[in-house]
Amino acid sequence: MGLFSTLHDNSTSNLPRSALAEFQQVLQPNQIILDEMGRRAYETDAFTAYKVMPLAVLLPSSTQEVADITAIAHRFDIPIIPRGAGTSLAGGAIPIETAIVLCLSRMNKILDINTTNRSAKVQAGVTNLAISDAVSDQGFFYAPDPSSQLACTIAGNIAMNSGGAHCLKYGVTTHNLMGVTLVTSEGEILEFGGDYLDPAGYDFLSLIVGSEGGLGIVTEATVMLRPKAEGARPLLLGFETHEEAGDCVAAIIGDGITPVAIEFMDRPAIKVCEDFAQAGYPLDVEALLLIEVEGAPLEIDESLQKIIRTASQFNPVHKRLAKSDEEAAAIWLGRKSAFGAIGRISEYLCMDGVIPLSKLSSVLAKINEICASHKLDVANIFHAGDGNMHPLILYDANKPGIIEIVEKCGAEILELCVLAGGCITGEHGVGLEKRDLMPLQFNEMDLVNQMRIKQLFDPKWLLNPDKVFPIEISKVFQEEGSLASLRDET
Amino acid sequence: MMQDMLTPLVDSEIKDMILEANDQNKKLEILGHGTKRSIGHIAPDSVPVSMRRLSEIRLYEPAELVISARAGTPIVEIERAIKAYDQQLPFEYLDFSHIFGTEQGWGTIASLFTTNFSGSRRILKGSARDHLIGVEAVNGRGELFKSGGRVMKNVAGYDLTKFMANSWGTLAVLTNVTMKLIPKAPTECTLFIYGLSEDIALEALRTAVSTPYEISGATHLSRTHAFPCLEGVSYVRDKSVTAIRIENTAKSIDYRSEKIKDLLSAFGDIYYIDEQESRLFWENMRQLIFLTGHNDAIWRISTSPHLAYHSAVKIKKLVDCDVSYDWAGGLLWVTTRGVFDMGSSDIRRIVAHAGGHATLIRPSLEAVHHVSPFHPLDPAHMKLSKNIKGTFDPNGVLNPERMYEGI
Repeated sequence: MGLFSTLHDNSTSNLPRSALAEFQQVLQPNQIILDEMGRRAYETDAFTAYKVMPLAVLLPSSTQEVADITAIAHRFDIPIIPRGAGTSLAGGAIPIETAIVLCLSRMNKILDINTTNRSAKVQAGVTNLAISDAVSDQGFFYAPDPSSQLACTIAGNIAMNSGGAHCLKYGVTTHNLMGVTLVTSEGEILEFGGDYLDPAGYDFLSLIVGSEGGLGIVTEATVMLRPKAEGARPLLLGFETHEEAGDCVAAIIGDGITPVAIEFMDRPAIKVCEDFAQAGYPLDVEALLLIEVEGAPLEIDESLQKIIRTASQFNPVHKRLAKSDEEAAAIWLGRKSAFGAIGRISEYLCMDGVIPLSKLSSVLAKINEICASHKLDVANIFHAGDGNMHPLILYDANKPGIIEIVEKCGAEILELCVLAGGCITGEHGVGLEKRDLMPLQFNEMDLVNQMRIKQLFDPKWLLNPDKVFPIEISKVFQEEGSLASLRDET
Repeated sequence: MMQDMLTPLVDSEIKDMILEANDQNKKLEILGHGTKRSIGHIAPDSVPVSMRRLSEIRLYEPAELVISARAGTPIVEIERAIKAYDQQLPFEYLDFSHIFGTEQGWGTIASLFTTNFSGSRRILKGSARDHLIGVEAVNGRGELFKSGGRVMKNVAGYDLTKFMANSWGTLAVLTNVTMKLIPKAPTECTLFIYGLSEDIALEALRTAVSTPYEISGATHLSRTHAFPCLEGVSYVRDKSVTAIRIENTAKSIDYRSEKIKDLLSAFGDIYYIDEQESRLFWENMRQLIFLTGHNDAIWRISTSPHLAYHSAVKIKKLVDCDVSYDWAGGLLWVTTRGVFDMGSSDIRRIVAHAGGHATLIRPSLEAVHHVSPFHPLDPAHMKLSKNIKGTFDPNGVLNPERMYEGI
């Protein structure tokens, strides 16, 4: 039985027949998935703790098709879950039961590369790494580099304002995006920005980036290209305490050096990554810093000398410079495949809090205390240069009630990050995972000012509706236009 | 007649002023030091609100490259504080005092972000907006809200922080801003090529910024514009100048400047401008010295670098003007002479066609006709912008019509 026959076999989907008929008018049969098996592939993303089957999955191949789908969904009041490659660690692409998934994976063309402008225009379903691959021969790259860059799409990167290890120097998605084509909840096609810097009027691009698909569906993007460095070399520094490693990071940044990346791993993470990648990580240290600098060989030497001089105040017990490209690649392979490597030995919940650098060592100590209090193990791997922590809380999924305990532990860690002056998410987004934790960081007025924007762009709250904002709060807001009644109750 | 100025000291006073303005149907003009007051419309009956008393550096963490200050803190005070730690603002904020004939050294920290004018280093380090990481504000409804914080990476909720950039105080009054700094480069140099034509100069700049050598300034000044800007920098002042800046350690700039010289040798003789003169030249750029010495209208145009030259040629055919380039062609500075509308209709039509926007920074000092300073928005963006204005400031209390009619 081919895909076409599923169109006539709607028994497994509750998508209204009249809506389906309209979708069939604008899409080819192979762009509509209705059968249960097909839809199951879209019931979750990389936040696998939750799964919800959507009514249908639609696979548009053009901006116009996205606009048509959105207009139909708007007429039928059907929520839309936009999806790129489904790599969200925050459940940003997890459906709700009444929704269709609009997956951009077929919009994967690079439309234009303009090295004079140092920009590339792409369809939003193109993968992050595909852009760098396409311009590499010409000496350019696209800077944000989430660990999932081989699979994740620009659409998802824009939705979540994704970062990566190298954004310490080059910034996150919002710093590398020049323009987008956006389809509104009513199916209108709007252009924001373009292939020039700093848009006219209000900076709508800044709102669209990081809005988690809640303000519109980005179908095309113009991204900034940067010239590739002449070379890069990672340095490994091992420490006997987290405190020394944390203080070393702050000292390096404060010393006027901006490495491309400063990554941190604690002992449990080092062990797992070394087992996986055979990168030559030292196994007898409590903390490992992976520091990368760029430039010509003489510039790299100069920067590394300065870093090593600064680091020497913090008693590094292990110091190793990559001596070849292969060795450098192995060092990065260990770090980049860390989540996957840890996933081989245990289920985990990956946190994404950010803290001020000066609080690094004290927060790390408290994270370990919190996890110990819940009798949970934790591995810490994170972007230390910008304080973006990724504690991985390890758990045995077969234990009854464990998910609730892990989530409670995670919430306590994120509360700790906020109290330290940081935030609940640095690059993964809020999604489903952290929506109920938003009040840790924002008060009523902060949230109301954000939700008014959602209301303006998406008056029916059809686009990724149950993400970002706590359900109870967003429901009250949708009904009353304020949160006054919640305040009265408290 | 100018109304009595309000001078709040704390956020709650700003809130009360805004609530009262809503009740009494008043308009408020939000002012820092007024250094950019000449740009945009000021509602004639609006009550000025000075942010000068909200002046304090609230947090400075040199090891994190983060500073947080009350909105009215003078920029010079921020610069003084961060200089002690060899740090600097990542972008060069433009100083309009020479072209508006106002006193030098003024400007408040919040105004850098609400107007988002970034100088030559923008091509390498990003704009003012890019470095704004947290705001506290009071919107036009009198509601206090915050967005972002003191950490660079923060994707919780919608980014109202960066949305405040370039909003010209029309959505909310910023009361506190937190921003990212960069380490001051140990040294710098600039390479000059004199007398290049515009198209060749842009090719040279494009070549330079496509290298890995982290060019932090890529400018071509016309002969007319170069003359005042080269004072104290170069003996040659009567030719166009193409300038390429490199900032880094001494060892690095030696290496990189040699590489660039080799690469650009076919473009003409290349002159090495050392640190002191280099700093002076780019400081002159920041102070817009190249736009002084005349009464012409001054346009700032952001556009696609690959269409910049063609756009300039078209503009020159229709308008008596001088054109200079920054951002390796992504930014045009155009001074127009003696035209009925200062070239507005031609410039804006040509720029819109190429992609981008043209801001009239200063009308001709002899201008008799009003020209809107901000590039007109298309109907869809205008509608959305009005709706956003309505969301933050439904009664149009804050800087009404500063940017556009109805906003």
